Amino acid sequence: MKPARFDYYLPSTLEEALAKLSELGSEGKVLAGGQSLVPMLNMRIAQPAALIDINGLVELDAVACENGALRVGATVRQSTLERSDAALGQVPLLAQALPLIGHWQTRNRGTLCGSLAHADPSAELPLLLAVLDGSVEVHSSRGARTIAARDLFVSFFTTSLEADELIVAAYVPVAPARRCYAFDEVAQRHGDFALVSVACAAEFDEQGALAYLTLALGGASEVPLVVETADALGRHADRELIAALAERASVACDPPSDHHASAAFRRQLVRTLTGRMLTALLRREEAAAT
Amino acid sequence: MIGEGSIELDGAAEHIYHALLDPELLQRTIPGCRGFEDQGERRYTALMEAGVGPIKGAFKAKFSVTDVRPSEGYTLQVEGQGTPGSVFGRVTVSLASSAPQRTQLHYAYDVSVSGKIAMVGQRMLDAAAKMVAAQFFKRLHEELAAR
Amino acid sequence: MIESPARTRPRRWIGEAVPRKEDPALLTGAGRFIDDLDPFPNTHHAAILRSPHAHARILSIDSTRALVLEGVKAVLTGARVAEISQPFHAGITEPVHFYPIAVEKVRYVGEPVAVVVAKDRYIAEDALELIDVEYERLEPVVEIDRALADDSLPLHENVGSNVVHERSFTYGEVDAAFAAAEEIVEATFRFPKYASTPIETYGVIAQYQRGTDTYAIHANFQGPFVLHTLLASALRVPGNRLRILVPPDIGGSFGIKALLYPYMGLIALASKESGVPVKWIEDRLEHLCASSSLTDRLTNVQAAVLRDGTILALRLDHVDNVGAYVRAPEPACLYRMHGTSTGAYRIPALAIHNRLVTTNKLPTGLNRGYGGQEHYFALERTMAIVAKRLHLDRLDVVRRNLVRADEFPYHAPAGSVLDSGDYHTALDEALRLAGYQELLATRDRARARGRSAGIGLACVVEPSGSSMGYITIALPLEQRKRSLPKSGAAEAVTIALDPSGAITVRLGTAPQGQGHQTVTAQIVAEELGVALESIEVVAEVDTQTSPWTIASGTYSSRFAPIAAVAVQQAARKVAMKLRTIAAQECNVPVDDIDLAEGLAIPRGDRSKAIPIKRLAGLAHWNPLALPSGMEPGVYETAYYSVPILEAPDDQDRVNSSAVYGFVVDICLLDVDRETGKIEIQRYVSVHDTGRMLNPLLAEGQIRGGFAHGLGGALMEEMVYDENGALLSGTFVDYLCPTAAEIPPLVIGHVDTPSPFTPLGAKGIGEGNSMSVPVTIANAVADALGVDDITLPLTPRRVWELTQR
Ligand SMILES: Cc1cc2nc3c(=O)[nH]c(=O)nc-3n(C[C@H](O)[C@H](O)[C@H](O)COP(=O)(O)OP(=O)(O)OC[C@H]3O[C@@H](n4cnc5c(N)ncnc54)[C@H](O)[C@@H]3O)c2cc1C
Repeated sequence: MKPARFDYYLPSTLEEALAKLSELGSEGKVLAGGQSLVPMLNMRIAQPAALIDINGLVELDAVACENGALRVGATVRQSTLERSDAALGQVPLLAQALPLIGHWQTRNRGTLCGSLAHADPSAELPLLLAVLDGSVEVHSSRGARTIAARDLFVSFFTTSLEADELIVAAYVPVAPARRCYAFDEVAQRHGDFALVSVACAAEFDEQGALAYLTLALGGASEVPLVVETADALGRHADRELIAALAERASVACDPPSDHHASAAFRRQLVRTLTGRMLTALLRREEAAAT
Repeated sequence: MIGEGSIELDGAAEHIYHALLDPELLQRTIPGCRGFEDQGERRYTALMEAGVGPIKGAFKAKFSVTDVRPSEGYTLQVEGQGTPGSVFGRVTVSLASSAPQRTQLHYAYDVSVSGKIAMVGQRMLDAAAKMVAAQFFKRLHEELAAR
Repeated sequence: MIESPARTRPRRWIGEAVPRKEDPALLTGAGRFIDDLDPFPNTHHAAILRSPHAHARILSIDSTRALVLEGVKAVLTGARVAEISQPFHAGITEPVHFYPIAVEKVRYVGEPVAVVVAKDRYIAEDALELIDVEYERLEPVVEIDRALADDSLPLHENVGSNVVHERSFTYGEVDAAFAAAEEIVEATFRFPKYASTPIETYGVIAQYQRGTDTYAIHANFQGPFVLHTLLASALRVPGNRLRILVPPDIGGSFGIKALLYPYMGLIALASKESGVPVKWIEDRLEHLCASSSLTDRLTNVQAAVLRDGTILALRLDHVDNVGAYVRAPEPACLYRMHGTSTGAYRIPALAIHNRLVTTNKLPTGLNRGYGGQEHYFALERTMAIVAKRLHLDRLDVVRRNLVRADEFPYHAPAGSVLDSGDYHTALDEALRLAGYQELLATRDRARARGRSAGIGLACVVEPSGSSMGYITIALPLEQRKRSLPKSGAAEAVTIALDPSGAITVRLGTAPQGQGHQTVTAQIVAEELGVALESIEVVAEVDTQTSPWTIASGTYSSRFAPIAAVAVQQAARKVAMKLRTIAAQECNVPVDDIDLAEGLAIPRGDRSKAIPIKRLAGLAHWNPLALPSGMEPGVYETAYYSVPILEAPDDQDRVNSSAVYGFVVDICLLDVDRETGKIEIQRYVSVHDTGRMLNPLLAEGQIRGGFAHGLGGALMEEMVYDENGALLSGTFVDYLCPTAAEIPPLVIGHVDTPSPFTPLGAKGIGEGNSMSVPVTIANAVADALGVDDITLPLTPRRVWELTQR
């Protein structure tokens, strides 16, 4: 379990990093927290010619609130967010999602942006970005652009990033006043990648009808999947509606099969988790209303 | 891994069938294919690079076309070996005319991997197979369209 | 005898909750493990090319490109290994040849195909990618059923079949019992293949010296040292040219690093071939595909029962899958529990049919619980099924059949002599700790709310201290008669006092974290009446200088029943010598000298007490002053073997273990039918550990066994697909329980010291490995109302059970 030979670069400015990236193209790989990349190197299933370590770019190690979103720099660790009351207050879903990711040790190194770039369909953070409709800020020596979550994730472990592009920061929208959130998953053990995960953001109006709903699934398709829910708006989230949404979610996805779970079982989990999550949200809302 | 899919192509079944037997075209449509060599009797060897995202593996691959059913389809046997392990299996292609000058191509693959790639790549294998198959037929579509 | 009030008693240490002597070094990172050692100059590093195929013929291996890579010293392949060594011997008659590397054929994914020796591990791994191997794939034989089929391709052509061992046994009037039965309950069980995952993997540093044709092999090997004999003959050297050295610390093993440790041979040969010392530390990928595991087993049970639940007889049909080869001590998997096949029950008649099959999977070997989890899964599931079929209370059926306290020592039909126990009281204690009535009420309340709750129970006799002879029962009588009978289970210990009186104890047990140093110090401190901290216990083994026996090592929970006694006996030899010297100095009879507080104290006259330090000094500095005939120095070795471990008799009965503990487990759990998740609500485990040596260590062993058992029950499995490809090759796919998955465990004790050993202690390390899988299976069966339970009970499996 020793990696194949590679060149190692530790740029000290963003320009330098971007220049290296454009010079190396697909031969180069960005090294952030290393929690996904380094195991792949050690197992020699990834053998890039060079690594560009971005951990020296201090300017990327910042969390700020900008234009209604939390801007999380590329080297901000998952555990930094987990320990930041400000961040968790602004994006309450982070408090639910972060503890499900691996272990303390991996979160101490792993970054939010690294997880987005890695685009594992079972990972929590891509799902979080998708359900909150966030985006990433991407730079290359050719310029900068913003990519919305729905355009970022293309397929299994594949994003719409070009080889010379670096995610500089992620934008995670700050929670509006009445919005409530839930994140749940079935994993075999604490810290394992989920068999499936479900996240949702919802808002109920004064009458208790759904005023907003986004429902997204992880581990159930090649990318985090946002389920169509527009027709549920304005309706009361009764048992019937919840059952219909849960059923829709289980049909909308295209889950993989492996020895841990068949596609049929994953669909079943999607149905169950979705149903339970919406029911719990509703109960919470009802409890708050009385 | 087993999977299947279908794709609608321009052209009559017979035309598609012949295209599918054209080594030149196979070489261009098999994803990550280099050094394609025709060994005769519908047997071919090549170096194939396949992967998902950052994960890549290079295989020495042998292909053979068997079970030929003119204008209806055939089976492509694949066997590859490389440092990440070995891959073997087959893809069955069936053609049916769906409209004049339109053909419905249905493919079903049953591919197995063994060795390191199966040991470490469990979570990605299904994905990899799906992607390689999808890429292959997408390119086929493009190649045919370009003809 | 009336004791004089002036007698001075040493402080009691045995049984005390002494914290581990080992811990300060381990917890501060100062342990010395195999990878920390650097014993030879110019050591090179090995990497191993492994088979990607389950079953294939090796057509060619071309190492040319690897050999020209800078830093590469040598490439060793199977053909060469077959030239310069012999296959390892195993305990069956069929010629299944096992070398530490594939010769001509590969038979499982991960089997070594070539070894590269290079300047460092990076280069060695680079070179692996440059070796070209051509294979011809062969039909894989993956499952037991396929291996049993006449037309499955034999893995070993010279054997001609994948059934490589078969024997039948009958004890008592089995047919009569089945004729008299009011019901016959029959069930078939499958037990999965899993292992234990020590944090430290295998590690070997070997040096071959050409000048003397000798091998020195450092390895984190746990015994038994019968390997020394097997390895010497495989390497074609006499035993005195093979030196095995075990480092001071081993990072866990649980049987994996026991017999047979093929890499010791492979790396030794790599050193011979390359002319340099070679180091190899197994990585986790290698470990999960190519170390060792327990067997997967197919069992058919027929029980002849009366309507009141009395079990008259059992017929057991076992098929054990040893994977690609038969590695010593296999076929012991089938025989470790043989004498104890009737478990904790008074079942007078028993028939056993044993078969061993080879398949294209990782070869098996010792594993915590060895043979027990497979065995009790079938036996204790059967007990539950019997109760269910007869509409009886499970507890009534168990109580009716358990061996009663007044029946010990109990001679089980297949030969085990259950030394002591009080199974009924232990069961009652478990029920009390579980709050059984409340447990039933909780289950019923949960069910009334629509939940699937269930209660599981298992009673397990936990053998410890394996006999060296039990494995020979695999051979038919005529064949056994042809060689020397094998009996006993010996261990050796040396205690030395230097001229300053400092005490060093040398063990041959090769512990892997069990706390042997601590218990040894407790025993010696108590026997010699000295301070606990003053005792040094050396756990590193060197076959050239340590005391050892063929049985030495740490396996079958043998420290408590056997090695601890050897420690005590060596200490008693030392004590006798010191007291004899003191008696002469004080001019009193030996019997009047007590050892306590670091002194030899004449009874009734403390003022004449002599420090032990002085007595040791005398033995070294002034031998002429010693009592006549006494040897100078203080250096005593004791060899101890348990007398009750006789060789198998002509009726094929064998007492396979020195002593027998007992475990009763009760568990309440809840099944989420929609997600397949199991939540354990209460788990109680009551043990009979005989005389307790150290309650902290006992608890550690129980908790460790519990975690291992949970792994087997809920998540651990080596998964192979239909082609024999291994799918669980990393810790992402081979799941072990972590702290977060382990529910609270309530531990109780009903201890009955063994009358057969001087200390009376019983092993305790494996009981829960045996009991937990079936306890949880029984609880899930109860929760879901199904009988056909297969482990591990992953969410997927549980959900599938609910879909029936
Ligand atoms: C034991 C363990 C358990 C885990 N469990 C989970 C889990 O349950 N859920 C989960 O979601 N994750 C889990 N992970 C993965 C973990 O969250 C990783 O930290 C994360 O996926 C990647 O972040 P990283 O900073 O470590 O990225 P790296 O490993 O450094 O990089 C990952 C990939 O992203 C690219 N990359 C990184 N940063 C950028 C950037 N700024 N711009 C462009 N490309 C970039 C790299 O080139 C590489 O291809 C686990 C990891 C381990 C080791």
